[in-house]
Amino acid sequence: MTDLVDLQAPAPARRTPRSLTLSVGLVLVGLHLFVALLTLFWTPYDPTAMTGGRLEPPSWAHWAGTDRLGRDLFTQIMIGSRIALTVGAGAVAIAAAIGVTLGVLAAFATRTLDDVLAATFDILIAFPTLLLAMLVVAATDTASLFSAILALGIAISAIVARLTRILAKRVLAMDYITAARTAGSSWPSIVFRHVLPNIWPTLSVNFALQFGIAIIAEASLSYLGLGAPPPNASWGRLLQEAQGTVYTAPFGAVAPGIALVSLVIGMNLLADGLRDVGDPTRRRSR
Amino acid sequence: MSLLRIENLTIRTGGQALVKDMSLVIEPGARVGLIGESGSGKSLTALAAIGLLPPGLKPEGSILLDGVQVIGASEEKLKALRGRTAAFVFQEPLTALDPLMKIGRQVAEPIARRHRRDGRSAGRQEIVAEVRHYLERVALPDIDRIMNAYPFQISGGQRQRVAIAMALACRPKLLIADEPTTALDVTTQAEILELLSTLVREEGMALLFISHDLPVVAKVAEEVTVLRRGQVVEQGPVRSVFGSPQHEYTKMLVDAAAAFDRALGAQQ
Ligand SMILES: Nc1ncnc2c1ncn2[C@@H]1O[C@H](COP(=O)(O)OP(=O)(O)OP(=O)(O)O)[C@@H](O)[C@H]1O
Ligand SMILES: [Mg+2]
Repeated sequence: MTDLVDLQAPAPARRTPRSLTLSVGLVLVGLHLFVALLTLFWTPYDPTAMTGGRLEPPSWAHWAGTDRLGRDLFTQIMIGSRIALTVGAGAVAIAAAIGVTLGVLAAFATRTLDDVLAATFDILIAFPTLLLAMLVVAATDTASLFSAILALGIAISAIVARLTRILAKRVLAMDYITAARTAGSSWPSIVFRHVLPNIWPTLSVNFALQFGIAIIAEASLSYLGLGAPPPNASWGRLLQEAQGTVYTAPFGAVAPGIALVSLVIGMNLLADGLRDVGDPTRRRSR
Repeated sequence: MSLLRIENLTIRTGGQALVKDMSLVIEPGARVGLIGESGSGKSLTALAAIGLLPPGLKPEGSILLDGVQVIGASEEKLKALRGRTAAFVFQEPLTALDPLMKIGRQVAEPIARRHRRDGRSAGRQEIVAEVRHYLERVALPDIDRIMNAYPFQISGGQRQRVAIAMALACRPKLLIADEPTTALDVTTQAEILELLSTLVREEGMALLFISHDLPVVAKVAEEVTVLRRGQVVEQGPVRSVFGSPQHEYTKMLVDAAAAFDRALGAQQ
């Protein structure tokens, strides 16, 4: 369908916003990535040191003001970028490893096993991500950055598995798979040469979306005190700490909020832009 | 020894028989047509011959492919049989090629697999040379461009030629072509038929040609099996089956083809 549309009209009107989407997404995510890497070597202040008065408004010395202990907020938000990206990447990597494996397995499985797996995915998905993550955190005893990553990874893996299963089944029904099988291809060769490359464009878009979801979920976990413990300055914890003083010092909540939203929007725009990159039939029209 | 010997094949799903008591023999180098209306079980018969029926469909009877019993055979045994004994060309050339893989790589795949099976590792150069050879064999123009093109970048007729090249590259003893020209326009159809007949003869392969189109089958096959609702209604040399059809359904097919010819004649 889209093919036809693309063939009939070069549609310059559509081309511009599409590449704009990708660029804006790349800039936003790139900015956060840069900041995250920067914090490994340098931050404006020591994140744990009292460097100013309490709850100072933004100034030249403290771009995002200070928190109730007088620590520099901008420094903490920068470190928050690193934590958000770590959590997003870690959770998506875990979700991809588990989800893609199980999804492909289900697509290839016998009827019964496939039904069982599909039902499991559906039940896991019906569970709210946050609740599932809370259970995993509870099961690992102490809340740590790693337990948050693991929890979100497992929660998201069900979504990835279900999507993978559906996509892989669609590919497996194609003639070129039958053709490969009639010519004597083995299952591993079919998975790696045909199935994965063909579901990758859609999967990668989903990964970028899940990345954004993981970041929000981590912020929620931290907000509830189930995320990375201090001194990890997760945006969720910053938001939670700013809650009590939101009327007197609103910037304490606004600044981490802006950081969170900009990264999630960036990820979503990137996801949209990515849609075209993995697909040669679409690449042509740009 | 016959290349393919199907005896009393019945394919069931649930309680229903999709193919009933079907028998078909293909000798090495023979060109056999399988004709029948849509849904008569042509594709199922062909898939059953290499043990690739969709899940849920159960074959009964006997299928000897190159002397090996296909029904009940292990996947390992079948895999060894597929490709080197029988290769497929499908109806829809667009879906028969991986949309995200360049043509050159797709044709290289069966070639590399054949070399692996024969226990010798072929270098990249050697495989590329063979890819070119097979693309030339199916008379594709502009091979350099086509090798680097994705399936959507070449025409339907060219795609079907690529699919044929991929089947040839397996060097099978039997080429199974399942309505390979149905999706093509008349001129391209004629070209592909011509190509298939020539190739099969030159490479000494047997051909199982599936179609619902009588003139097309008459053009490429020496023997024909007429299938109706999963049952063989007539079988024999093309000349005698189409020359003096016995069964109602075959008569109808022949009449329809003749009526078409007459209409064409009257126009000229
Ligand atoms: N996976 C399946 N499960 C159940 N029934 C099937 C399945 N595949 C095919 N059938 C049925 O088996 C019958 C024969 O199908 P087949 O594909 O062999 O027909 P065909 O002769 O090749 O038709 P066409 O000319 O349209 O390709 C049809 O009635 C079809 O609905
Ligand atoms: Mg068919």
